[in-house]
Amino acid sequence: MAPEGLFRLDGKAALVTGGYGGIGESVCRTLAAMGARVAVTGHNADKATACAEALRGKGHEAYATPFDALSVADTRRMVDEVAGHFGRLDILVNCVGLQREEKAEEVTEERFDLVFDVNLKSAMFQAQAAARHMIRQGEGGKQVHIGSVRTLLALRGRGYAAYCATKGGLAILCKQLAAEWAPHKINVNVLAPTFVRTQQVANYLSDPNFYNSLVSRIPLGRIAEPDEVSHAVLFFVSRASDFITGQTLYLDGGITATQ
Amino acid sequence: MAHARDLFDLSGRHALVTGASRGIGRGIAEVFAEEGADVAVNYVACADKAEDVAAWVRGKGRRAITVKADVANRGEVEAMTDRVWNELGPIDILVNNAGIETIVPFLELTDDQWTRLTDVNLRGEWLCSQVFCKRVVGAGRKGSIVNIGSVQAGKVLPGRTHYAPTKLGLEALTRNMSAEMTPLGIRVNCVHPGLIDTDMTAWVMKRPDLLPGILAQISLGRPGESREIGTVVAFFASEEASYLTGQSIHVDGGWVGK
Repeated sequence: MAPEGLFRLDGKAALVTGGYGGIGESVCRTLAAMGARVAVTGHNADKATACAEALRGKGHEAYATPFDALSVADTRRMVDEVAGHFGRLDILVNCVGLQREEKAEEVTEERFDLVFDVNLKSAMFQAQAAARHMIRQGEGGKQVHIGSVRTLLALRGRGYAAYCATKGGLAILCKQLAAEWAPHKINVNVLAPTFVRTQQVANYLSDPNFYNSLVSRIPLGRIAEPDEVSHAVLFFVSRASDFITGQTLYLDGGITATQ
Repeated sequence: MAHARDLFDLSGRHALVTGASRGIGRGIAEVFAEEGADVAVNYVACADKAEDVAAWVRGKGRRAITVKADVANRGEVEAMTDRVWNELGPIDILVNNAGIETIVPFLELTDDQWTRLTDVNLRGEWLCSQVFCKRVVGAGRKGSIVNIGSVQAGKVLPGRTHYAPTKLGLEALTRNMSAEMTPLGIRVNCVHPGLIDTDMTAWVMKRPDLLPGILAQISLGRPGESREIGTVVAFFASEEASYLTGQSIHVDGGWVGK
């Protein structure tokens, strides 16, 4: 219904990094369905192109370009290319992230740096490149970075040091970016989901012991669906959340509230 | 094929908003009506203002009733819940918005002041929630609760040793009700408003010695509007927030935590 168009994104240009993954693809579909023009990007050019083609097949305006999250120069090139293509940039949704599990006493510099660079350093420079366009346009903007329940919760018995450090760091990074860019009306928030039913975690979820012990701790008794993540992203990039900035919202079926 | 429901649509839902005759409660009732919900407007003193809100809701083509009750009185809360359930329909959404705020230095605070304020702000939300949940669970239905807290759950302001604990207490109430009620089909969340331009904060807005200093602490540099709380509450109450429970979020333009 939304007669006032509270959640519509008509005329907005959105960039979704990691946009063809399980979460990213749902975000692209949802933002496009609400009227946004959507750029899909990630390291895999073929997947980005396929995702954009699928959006165009449904009558949406979409663009695809690959980028290397490990390169600040290439991140800036990609963001500038997208803003140039659409003539503006209003929304950034950063779905880039990875995990390399290593016990803390065995963490290697190489893997720690990789997780740090992809999960945290890339968030900074995606945010910066996007904000430069938003500041120049002078009409504000919305940024959502995807965190994790590991933004808040440690994980007993598993090798999550680098992952927890970077996802935890993302929350205060975004709070600081929100504080610095609020005069330009750029809202920066973190959406932090628990397990979402995507290909990336299909291996974990296919293990019944893992799945049952996971959902037994979640008050809602199930994991999240990708569309539940993208609807919360839509909330954060819409007018409905104009007075929220610097916040982390856990989309987790109630698990962080019980830990 | 059935027509797809629009995102965030609240059509066909029945919502009870406490303290809805003015301020933030009115903003919530307005956005709910625009998103399609029928609204019960609870009030304790201002019958005429509550009726204004109900008329506004009806003007949007939705149904509305006004219902008087002190949220800290179990008998009145039970009667209110019964009446709304029977006249408006089974309640899907409860917004615990009613609250009072006074400013009293800690050393001057009396037992009565502590008791009255904590009764309305904390016990009242617990009470309205329990009565609502018993009714929803008993009817085999599902529901959603949104508690309205305050930026003071995370920020110290002078003279609030009675007020601030009720608002931080709401976070614990939210988490614990979520843990018990989510498995039974009722999600529970909390929204902490910052400085919102309402009659409750009018005294701040009129203080040139105070206002600039407060606005300077708010990243966005402005007070919020009641409807900006309403839009967040509408999202939390909607089907699109189906995986969201036990959470508290500050809607404060970037005030707390820096």
